[in-house]
Amino acid sequence: MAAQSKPHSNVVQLTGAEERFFGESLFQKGLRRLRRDKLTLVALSVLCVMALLALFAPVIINQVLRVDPSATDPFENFLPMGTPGHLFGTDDLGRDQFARLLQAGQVSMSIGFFGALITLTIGLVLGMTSGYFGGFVDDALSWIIATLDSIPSLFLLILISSVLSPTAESLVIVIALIGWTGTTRLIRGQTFSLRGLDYVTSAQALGASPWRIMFVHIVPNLISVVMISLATSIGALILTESALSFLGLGVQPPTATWGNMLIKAQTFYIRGPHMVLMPGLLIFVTVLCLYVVGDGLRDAFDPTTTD
Amino acid sequence: MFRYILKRAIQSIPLIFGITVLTYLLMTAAPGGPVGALTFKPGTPPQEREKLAARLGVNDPWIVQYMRWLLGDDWMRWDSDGDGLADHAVLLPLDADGDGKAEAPGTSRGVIRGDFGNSFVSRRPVLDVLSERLPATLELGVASLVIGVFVGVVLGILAAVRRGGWFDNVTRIVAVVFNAIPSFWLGLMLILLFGAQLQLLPLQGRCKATISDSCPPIYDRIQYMILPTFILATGLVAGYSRFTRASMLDIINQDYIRTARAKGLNDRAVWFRHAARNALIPVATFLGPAITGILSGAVITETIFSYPGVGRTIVQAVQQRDYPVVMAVTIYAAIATIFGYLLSDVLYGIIDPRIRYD
Repeated sequence: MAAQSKPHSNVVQLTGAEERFFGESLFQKGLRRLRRDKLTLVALSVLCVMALLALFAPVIINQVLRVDPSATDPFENFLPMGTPGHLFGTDDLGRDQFARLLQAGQVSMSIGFFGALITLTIGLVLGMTSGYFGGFVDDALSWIIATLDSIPSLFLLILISSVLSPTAESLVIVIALIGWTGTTRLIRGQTFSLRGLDYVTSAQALGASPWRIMFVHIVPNLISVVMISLATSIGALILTESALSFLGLGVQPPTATWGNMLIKAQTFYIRGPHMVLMPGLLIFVTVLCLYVVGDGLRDAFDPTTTD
Repeated sequence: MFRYILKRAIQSIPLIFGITVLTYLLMTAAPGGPVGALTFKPGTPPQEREKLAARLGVNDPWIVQYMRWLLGDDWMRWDSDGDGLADHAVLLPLDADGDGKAEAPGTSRGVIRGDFGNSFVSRRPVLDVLSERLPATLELGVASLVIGVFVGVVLGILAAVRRGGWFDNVTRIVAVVFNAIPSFWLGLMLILLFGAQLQLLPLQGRCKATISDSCPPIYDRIQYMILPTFILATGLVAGYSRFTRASMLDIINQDYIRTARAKGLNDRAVWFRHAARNALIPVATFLGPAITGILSGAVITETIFSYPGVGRTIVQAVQQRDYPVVMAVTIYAAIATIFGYLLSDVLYGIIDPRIRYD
């Protein structure tokens, strides 16, 4: 081996298998594990389809279905599923259910997505600040979190919605302003344990400012935690929104969400069972896929698991 | 132990204080607000309404209004000579509406003494309204807590014993499904199936409707309890089965379990007598979140089943803008949550002899 080596003889050439073993970053390892995880991949594809449908809902409704989702027709109400022209039937006012479901999906999924994004931003800023600095900031924040957490969040949401009848936009903010405690606690804990590691100490010794340490050294190490919690919290927020809208305290009709399509469901048991089925089924499938993806990401990117 | 409980109870006082501030702030921000709703009477001239509002304290500083709500006003303005008009006042003006006469003495005892005022809708004390509804929620909550914890723990232990087997996989799927399914939709579908289609179970209510509005003893109306209890218990089963399983698998690798096996004990004794007992200790800490879950779940479940409990009361109260009821339910729910967490900490100390609170 030494005879045929080039000038840099101390550089060891790795075979493919060895490279996979030594030279792989945590991220590459995660991707490789993810590719083998069939269940997570299926869930991810279902989510992609749902997201695309939601994203292009207006186009699909106008160009493909060619119906007006809010056009009522008293003579065509409670049509069952599979009626020609109305794939999922019509509702009590004769509106096409398929178009309504698409529209509602857009609203429900964006509330979940943007709510989780805001939650995460709040969680990152507050969690890192209090985890890194500790002291008074940490005590004050912990007290606020404890106070918010001891009101069951549904009651707090009910209280707030009773004060302002929310639109989809304001509901996102309200849900996020209540749901940030869990993410913040998670990130605070992570920051707290990262702060004690040697590389942070050495950065401090080199004179890096706290903000530089936080954003350059700590944030990259939080990314996997953040991605995993994002998937789960989108799911949780979709559930919260649907429950609230079902109670009539969330997004108000005529804007459709999967939750408020079920407001009058109790009166449909006899005439329109199909209207009870579909909105809930879509919530269930979306949230289930999000949880499965969250679990899959956790397993794939967990540095402590071995192949 | 007693000192620990006392310490924790004292720690929760600022928490409850924070909750009252938060709820009060939210309610005063409401359009119309509590005062607006009280002073609204069709046909009242604006000056009269202003006077009434002044008597109710809208002109007082915010902090005085809050104290009046929290601590009552019977000590802020009182009558010592018995003529029906106040002659002493602290914090409040004697003559709030400016008509030259002193106001009537304060009668409110404040939230802290359990006086949330009267319901705007039924005009009765909020506490009376709620105490009528409480038994219904309690029986539902206790039933689902007992069933949910029992089923969840048993499933979790069995899943851990048969780790990796089909039973383990099935319980895992059940747990994920129960977590992801919107409980109100599950309830609607079950009513649709068992109530409307098969006509096996009643569609709604706590018992057969009667004129006297009272219900027979619980064993005569079990069929009304089955579906709501099931819906409330699903979340608990999901949580407890996962938690118990994880806790069992933590325990099973410990030395004393190996010792038990080495002594030649059979599997059954090792798992159920040695492992399960210790594995259940951390499960006790789950009681706090479980109570929170039941409280939130009751709101939704009672609404689906038109079940006359506290949860449905708050939904109706919001729709009717009955602020005193909304505030009372929220504050009591928060206190119940704090109490639940306290209880699970104390329970933890009682079952686990290794924990000492000093």
